[in-house]
Amino acid sequence: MTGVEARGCMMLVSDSAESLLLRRLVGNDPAAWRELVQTYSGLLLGLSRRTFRSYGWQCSDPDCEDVVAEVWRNLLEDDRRLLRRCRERGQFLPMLQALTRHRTVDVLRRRKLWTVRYEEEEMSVAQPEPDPVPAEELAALPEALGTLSPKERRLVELFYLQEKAYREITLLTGVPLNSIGPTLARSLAKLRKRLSAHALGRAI
Amino acid sequence: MDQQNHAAEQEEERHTAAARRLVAALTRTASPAGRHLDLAELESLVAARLAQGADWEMPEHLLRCPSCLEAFQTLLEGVPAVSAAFLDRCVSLEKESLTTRDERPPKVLYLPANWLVAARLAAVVVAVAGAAWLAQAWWAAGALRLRAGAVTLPGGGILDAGSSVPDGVVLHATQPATTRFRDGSTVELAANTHVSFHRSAGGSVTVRLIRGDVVSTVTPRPPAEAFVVQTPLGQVTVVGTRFRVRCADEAGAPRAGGEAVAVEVEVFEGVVRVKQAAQEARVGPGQRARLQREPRGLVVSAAVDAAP
Repeated sequence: MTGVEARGCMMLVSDSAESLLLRRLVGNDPAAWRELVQTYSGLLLGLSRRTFRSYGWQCSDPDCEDVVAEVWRNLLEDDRRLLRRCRERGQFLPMLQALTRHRTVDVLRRRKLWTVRYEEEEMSVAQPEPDPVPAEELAALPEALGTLSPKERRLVELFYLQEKAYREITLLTGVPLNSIGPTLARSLAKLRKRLSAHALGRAI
Repeated sequence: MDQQNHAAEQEEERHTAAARRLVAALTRTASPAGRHLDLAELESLVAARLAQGADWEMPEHLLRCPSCLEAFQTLLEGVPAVSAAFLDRCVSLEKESLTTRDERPPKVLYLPANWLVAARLAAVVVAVAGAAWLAQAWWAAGALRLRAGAVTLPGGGILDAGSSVPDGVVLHATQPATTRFRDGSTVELAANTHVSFHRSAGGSVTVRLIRGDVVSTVTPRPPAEAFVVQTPLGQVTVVGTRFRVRCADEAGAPRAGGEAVAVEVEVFEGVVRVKQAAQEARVGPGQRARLQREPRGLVVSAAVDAAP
């Protein structure tokens, strides 16, 4: 994040800690690499563990450490090309996340722990596309969402937009597990009532 | 009852269809997520969430950005502690990359257009290269010496400290002994160790450990000049580190006779790559790898004992 403050003819630009660290890394500051590894390794180890779990694999600490070490190696390749690109374009943390996911999948493939079974491919059926929403009804939806309380709107977006499970929503928001279902049902009922004048509301 | 079940199923189908339309509509109306959050901001949000519980308001960006939401959720669940050994391993990656970068050849090479000058230059180059090869061969011949202790040669001859170690000959260390390469790398042999050394013209070194215990301290080397400890059950490849390789019996003691039941690799500094058939693992400081004959396998674990 860069904050800019104008004072007469002077422009003062303050860089975030992340931006400063990237600048030092690209400039081959000797202490910057250790700082990078110390600051981000924990998060990347956690992300690797989550990715392994999402593929149904109970990973060990060395598995995750191998993945993260490979991510750091990728950052050093080609004279730190990825770091230079992030310095110019930003999105450093999303880049680290994507690298971690990819290297985790690489490990799964190398160990032949992740395969797509032929039967699963045969049996998978394309989900039907939901009915298209007419433009005039679509215009009414943001207003309808605005009638929900912030808590209700958060739950609706986390459940329907981010496809989070109830226990994940509990962790993310602090809302008790047994409150989530009733809150979602109540929110849908409110939306139904609000959109009752349009075809979308009648269908819901 | 059948009618009630059927009605319930229909209600569920309508609900599912309604949910799908809602998802589609929400996806289309969702505003762009905006700027991604950095790690400091995410950690601050985690602290706020934990302090405020259900009263905490999730920022709009987190609701809309799967990437930042995943990072936030990972931090909230708690991230693993980073061990000092793993930290050192990752820090050393930078030194390895700098070594590799220094070994790159120059990008541009100019040659004179005049063919006679070029031919004379070529002749000079060949002569210099030939002399350099001879010098390197002579250099390599004296590259490994016995620094301490004594070893027995096949046929009963004794090599004393200070002697040059012959290439490809199986040495028997009847007492602890130390060999030293010209680049400063050392290989310490425990008593009753049988080992041979093989050096290629390109600078690669293979230590064939037949039985016993060796501790190798290897100075950082170019990737093309591998330092390998070959054992009956697998091999250990090194780029700048200090580690032990032991051919062990079932109790883990160094084995002085018969076939090796297991090979143990313990790393004190740096990283080694351990390979057995198609299995391969990287072993870092504070870790131990065990290669087994029966059942065949390679296992990496944390080392219990302190470094020698």
